[in-house]
Amino acid sequence: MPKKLLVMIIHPPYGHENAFAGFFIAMASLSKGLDTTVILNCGGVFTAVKGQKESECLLSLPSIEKQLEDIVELGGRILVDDTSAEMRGIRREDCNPGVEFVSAEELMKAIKEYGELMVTL
Amino acid sequence: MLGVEIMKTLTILLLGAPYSSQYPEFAIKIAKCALDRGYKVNMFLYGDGVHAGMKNQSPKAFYNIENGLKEIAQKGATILSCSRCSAARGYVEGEFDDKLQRYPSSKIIDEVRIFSLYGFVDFIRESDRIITFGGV
Repeated sequence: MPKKLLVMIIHPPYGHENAFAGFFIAMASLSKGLDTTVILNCGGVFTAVKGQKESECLLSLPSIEKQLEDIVELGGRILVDDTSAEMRGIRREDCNPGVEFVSAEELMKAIKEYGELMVTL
Repeated sequence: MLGVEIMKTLTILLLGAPYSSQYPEFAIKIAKCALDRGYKVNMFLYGDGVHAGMKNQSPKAFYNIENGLKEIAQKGATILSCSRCSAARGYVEGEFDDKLQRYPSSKIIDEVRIFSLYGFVDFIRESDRIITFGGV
């Protein structure tokens, strides 16, 4: 059975390394042909916000939004926990069009399907 | 089933640095238990987890993470450390050595190989389970 990886990101970008580190894993996995899905929940939903500025002028970090688009281009799915987003005032229209807003039930389904191989950052 | 058991593979992604949390100690203990039960064990040090592979650790009151990694390696665990994270933290001292299949570092124990993130992808491919320590 083909391997499937789930990368769950729970920290917002820039303040911690976690979101970048999770996206690097997802990109490496996708570029090696593994079916990969990213879940953004808790503070990780801020990663999905569109229009994030190139951050070279701030922290010398790559653009998390560019990484997000690279993941989608490589065939990865990026699921945003709609409850976590709503709690933080983030609307679907505030986010990059490449992400999918999903309910808790849909998240549970993804975790059941992919959860044996899951990393959390 | 004909008395043949298939060895299962556990991969541990360690994100936590030693001594600031108990994650590395717990990861090593889980690895030891899995090895003792016949699992194949891989460990990938990522983010601040790369500090776990540093030489000459001498904690006065805590479990020695360096010794723990040496012990699980001796039992058969494969331990890789992310090259990007290691370079950022000053551990990488040259180009990748094709013969040794590692980036050189005089600061990291021999049991830990500094390797690209693709090493983790290879671990994923052969794993039945992945556990993350230190991501939260």
